[in-house]
Amino acid sequence: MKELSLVETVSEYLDARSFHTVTELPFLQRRVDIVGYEPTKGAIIAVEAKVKNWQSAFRQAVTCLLFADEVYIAMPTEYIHRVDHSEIARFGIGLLEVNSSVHVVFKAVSSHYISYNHRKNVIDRVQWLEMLQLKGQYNANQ
Amino acid sequence: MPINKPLHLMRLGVHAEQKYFELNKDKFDIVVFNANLAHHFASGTATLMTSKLNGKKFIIDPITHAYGHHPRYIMTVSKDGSLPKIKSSLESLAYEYGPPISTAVSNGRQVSPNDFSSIKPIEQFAKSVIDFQANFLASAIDPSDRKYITLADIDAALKPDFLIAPYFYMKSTTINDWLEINTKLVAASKKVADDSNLYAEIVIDRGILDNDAELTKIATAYLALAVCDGYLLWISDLSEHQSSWSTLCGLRKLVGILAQSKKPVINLYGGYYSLLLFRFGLTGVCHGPGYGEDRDVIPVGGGLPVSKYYLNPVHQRLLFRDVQFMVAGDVWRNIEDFYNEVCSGPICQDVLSGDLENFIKFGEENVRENKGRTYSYPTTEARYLTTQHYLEAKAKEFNDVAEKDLKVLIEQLKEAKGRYDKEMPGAQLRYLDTWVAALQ
Repeated sequence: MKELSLVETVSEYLDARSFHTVTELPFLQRRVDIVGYEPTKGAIIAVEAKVKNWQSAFRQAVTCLLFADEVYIAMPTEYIHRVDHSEIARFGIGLLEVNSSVHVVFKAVSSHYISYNHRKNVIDRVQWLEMLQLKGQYNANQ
Repeated sequence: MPINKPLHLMRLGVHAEQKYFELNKDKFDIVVFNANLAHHFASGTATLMTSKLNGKKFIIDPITHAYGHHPRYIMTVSKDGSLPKIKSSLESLAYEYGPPISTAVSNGRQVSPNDFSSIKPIEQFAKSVIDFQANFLASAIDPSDRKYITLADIDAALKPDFLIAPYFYMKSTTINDWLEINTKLVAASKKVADDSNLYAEIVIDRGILDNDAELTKIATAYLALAVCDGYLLWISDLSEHQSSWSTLCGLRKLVGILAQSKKPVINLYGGYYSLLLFRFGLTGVCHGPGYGEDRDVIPVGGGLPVSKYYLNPVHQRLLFRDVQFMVAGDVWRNIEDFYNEVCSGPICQDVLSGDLENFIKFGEENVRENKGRTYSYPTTEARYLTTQHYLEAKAKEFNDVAEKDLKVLIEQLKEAKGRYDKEMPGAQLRYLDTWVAALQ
């Protein structure tokens, strides 16, 4: 399974749960793989997807704790055993197992690190990216 | 006369950085220009030193090593598909230096030891490099502009504090090729340096620090050079934060050997570990405004700018997002803790204004879309704030090293490791242990 497939599968999973999802959202000089925003509840979920390298996903996921209510690492079934559960649980990060569907291995804990300003910036960017996507100017997979 | 405070040198990388030098001119001692910058922007450099930095000492690094690498390393590739060519600033400097540099450049090759097989090209090259440093900036001032400069002695203000002999980079496989030539270039430079002080610049591969025989060979060869008045060190690509204990011990040993001469020894690219070597004979350390604590002799690409905040207790520029994560995780319980533990300098006081929520201002960014991809990059204001904070932190480090006992400074490193090691996910603070071990 490629990272692109992971991202698509998780995006569809969040879309089906009323989240507005965007991919490759720029944040603090990185791009967050998936950000889901649920406007009625004002909830934000961030997901970092990696095929094999969970440490890399973890480092990026930690940054997402600054704006998202829940942060997850998504990995395919065949490599998910590599993840150090205690390390990611230390920061309340959850884990998603992805094959043809998405299975929550363990749920994320609400972030204790949220900064209001970062969160506001991210919501603005979700809306900006949605607009670009509607205009066809944005290709996250490029 | 014993020096009781480390010399603080700052390298101007591009002219756009001038404002940091002007704003902080009381915080450092000597400005360092690379010769290609001074040559390419001669008038601007001369104006800077006679107006905004009036009276400040400066030196010009002749960067002659650049012509000893394969030409591809000093070439630029244009976007129009034309053939790569030597960077214009290095090409024009090569013609200023004359043969054998200009000959090699015009033939599209690097300078080799064979170009210096007799004493004549050595003397000729040394003279042109020394003449350039000594006289070029004074000649760059337009005579009609001199009447607008209030300095009593313009020419004196445009003389470098000391001159630097031409030099070439040495690694394990090329020591035998270049060491003798380099020392001869120092001797030849002294003959034409008149009454100016002359420094020898030692530029070596960091691997040499791990090889005791090679290190000793180079250090003793330069120690024996009675003609030079001081030493400059450039250990290529030496990151003090990533180096092993043996490498850092090698740097300490090199400094110790050269310091036996009782002449100044300055590290041109160094961080806090180098600063602590002040206690072992190092006289000064140079860095740039917010960067330049290490540098490879081979130019490497810059990439997109990233926000970094210098976390004073760990003496490292960390990604803004990592420090913001610590702030958000209440590593500092309140603003007073932050001021006491991290920084209470003017910039931090002003930005934070008593509220840690304002830390976000150090990381503000813009986003843009280009050709279907999105990017975020620090705002101009955020870059200014992080750079100014860095310079304030550096000035404090130089003062601390001058004033505090080495034992106290080492104890602070141990405390910082214990305090912050678990607070930064993915952070590597093992270098603090390595520094402590290399200093004891």
